[in-house]
Amino acid sequence: MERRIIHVDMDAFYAAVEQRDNSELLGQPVIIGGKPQSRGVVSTASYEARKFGIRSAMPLIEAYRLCPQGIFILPDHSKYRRVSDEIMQIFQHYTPLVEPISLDEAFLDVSGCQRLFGDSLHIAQEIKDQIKSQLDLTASFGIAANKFLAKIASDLDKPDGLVVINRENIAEKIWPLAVQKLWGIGSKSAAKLVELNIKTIGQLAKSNPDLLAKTLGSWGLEVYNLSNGIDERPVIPERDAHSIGHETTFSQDIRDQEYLTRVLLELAQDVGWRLRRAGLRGKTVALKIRYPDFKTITRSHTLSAELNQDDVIYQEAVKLFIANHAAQKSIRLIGITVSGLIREEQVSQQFSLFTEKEDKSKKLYQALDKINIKFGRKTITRARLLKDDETK
Amino acid sequence: MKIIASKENLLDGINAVQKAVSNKNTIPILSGIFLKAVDNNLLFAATDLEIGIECKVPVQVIEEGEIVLPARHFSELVRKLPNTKIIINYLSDIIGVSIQYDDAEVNLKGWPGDEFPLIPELEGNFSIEVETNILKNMIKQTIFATATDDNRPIFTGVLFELENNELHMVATDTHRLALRSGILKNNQNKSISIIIPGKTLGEVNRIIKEEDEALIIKGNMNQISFETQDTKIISRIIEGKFPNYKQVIPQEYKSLLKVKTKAFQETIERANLFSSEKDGTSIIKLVMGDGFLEITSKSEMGKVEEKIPSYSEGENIEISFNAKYLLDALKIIDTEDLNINLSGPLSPGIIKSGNHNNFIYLILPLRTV
Repeated sequence: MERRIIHVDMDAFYAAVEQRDNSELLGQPVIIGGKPQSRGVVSTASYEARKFGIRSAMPLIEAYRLCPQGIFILPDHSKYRRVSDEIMQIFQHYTPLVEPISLDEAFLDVSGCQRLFGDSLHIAQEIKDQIKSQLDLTASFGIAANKFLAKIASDLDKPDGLVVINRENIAEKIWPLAVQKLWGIGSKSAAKLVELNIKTIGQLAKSNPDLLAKTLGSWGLEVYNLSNGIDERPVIPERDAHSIGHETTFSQDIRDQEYLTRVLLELAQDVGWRLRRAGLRGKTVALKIRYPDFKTITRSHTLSAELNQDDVIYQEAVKLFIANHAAQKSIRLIGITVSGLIREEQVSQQFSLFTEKEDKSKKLYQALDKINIKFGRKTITRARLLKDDETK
Repeated sequence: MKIIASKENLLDGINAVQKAVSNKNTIPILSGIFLKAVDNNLLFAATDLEIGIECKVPVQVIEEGEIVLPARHFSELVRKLPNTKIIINYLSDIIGVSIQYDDAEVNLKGWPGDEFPLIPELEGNFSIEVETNILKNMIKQTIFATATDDNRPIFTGVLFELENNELHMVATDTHRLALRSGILKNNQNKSISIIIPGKTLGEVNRIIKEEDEALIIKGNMNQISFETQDTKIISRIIEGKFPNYKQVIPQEYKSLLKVKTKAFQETIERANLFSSEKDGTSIIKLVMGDGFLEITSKSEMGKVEEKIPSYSEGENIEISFNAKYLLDALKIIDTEDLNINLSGPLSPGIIKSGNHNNFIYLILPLRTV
């Protein structure tokens, strides 16, 4: 049976949330990222701002030059996360096979849901309506038989779009696009392909796969398949994930240890929350650090028992941080991943001695999560993380 | 320094101290072995600042002196030497030694001996004497139950508790607990309660030979040392408070089960063969019957079901344990029979060696669905 995959991509998500919550911002060029003179980059620009040529990841200084009348806003990640949770809950109503890619993007596998909710087009339309009526936000949808095509489709008619790609229109919709639209084709691979006189996905689809394999290595065959609309990757819901991680890239390199450990605490909180929400526990905690020169290290530690509590993840991450990072070095990116996941119900029911503390902490997290589910993410959070919010 | 030694003597010294050589490269000299020739003995020493080991072996000393040699190179060289007379001679020009055997000569650079951190003479506030074979046995019967990850450091150590002339050693990883008791020969009325790193006790058990009859244990609130005629092991102790182990050992039980140690062990080893877990453990279910004990284990690979003869008293109980936790204990029980006390499927089981009460192993069950 052919799969039906929906890719949902929220339109200018951060900016749209801010505009929704503050009517004065409606119709204005809103730039989420930070103060215009700071060293950071644009994280999201409203469609009004995009008319000025402002794009994500553009330095704020440049955005300011293009659009000095723009309204520059510091991102409020906890708010976006809260809204994102609401969106994901809508998805969950239609299918358990939801793979969140980021706060504003997810894949849904709705194969076999027709009996329940109608065909995939109908489901997409319903989700779209629900996001609009419940959350007053718009999203663009792509529907296809696989993840790759669905993702391309959602990008074809932004904002508020809904595009279906099937066998009949694949050549028309996909083939004229530049090869860079393909997963994993960056400027380097694109340059190599240009040498083979391949600029569009269509040209790639009709090229010689052996030649591609020679030029791009094993990856060549995969992009050949993708360009022909072949992509077998499954939608992996969080419950079946092999690892759950969060990382953050700083808009400017950070050396302040105190600040970095605070970021680790926040990341640990995010990872712990997702693990518990997905009913998972993990055995291995990995810390990833990328330095300004892009040198990246990953160090991990495996515990004797599976965990999903924020504080344990944090302690392990900090231990790895102290053991592997020279304090005087600046950091560009830091991240925490927990792997070796098993479902909570599969955690061996081995009884333990002297674990009153752990049992208490388990109950504590259950209570905290309940409150945060009911009243929104981070209704209760660590005092140490509050400082950040106050400055916003 | 100039000495004449046999390969065997050199190897004895190297093997004794090797595990204390630091494998971190923060202080280079600690990756070396300190050698000191004095009084027709060659003293070997190594430390990673957590544990320090010294060992004296008899050699022919022609000229006294000291040197630190890189442990890896020195030990690998000695291991590969022929069985012949070996002459080690200090070379001041390279700060190293020449090692001569047969017609060959090897030069190896090192560090000046006086730069090696001295392993301190322990200022003990207690000092007791223990029979070596008793201590070795006590270590063997407890050390396996220590925790392997350092999430809670106290559980990587063994509680060493002396009370009313009775020595208790206790180790637990929170899933099982091993308690071994022994009586000290000489009346040594002291009260001691410290946590010794599992690694240290592993070294004590490895290095101290049964022939060394008496062993002196000295210690204070920070360090402990184990000394025999030729060997000294000194280590930090683990800070923290060991939980009250006496509280968790049940004094009463509902059922008693007696089985043959060997038969029980072999059955569990077979039952564990089809383990699907990465760490090679499986769930072993025990079902008490009249005159027999049924042992089963299931995995995706298949299942094993066996019955072994047993003697039982009290109600028949079904209970599941992690195979590894059972096997670890069965391997070190040296009596032909063993007793298992049970109180129900969710209560801890107690395993004791057949005819004496000096070993108690508490094992927590698995809840099975």
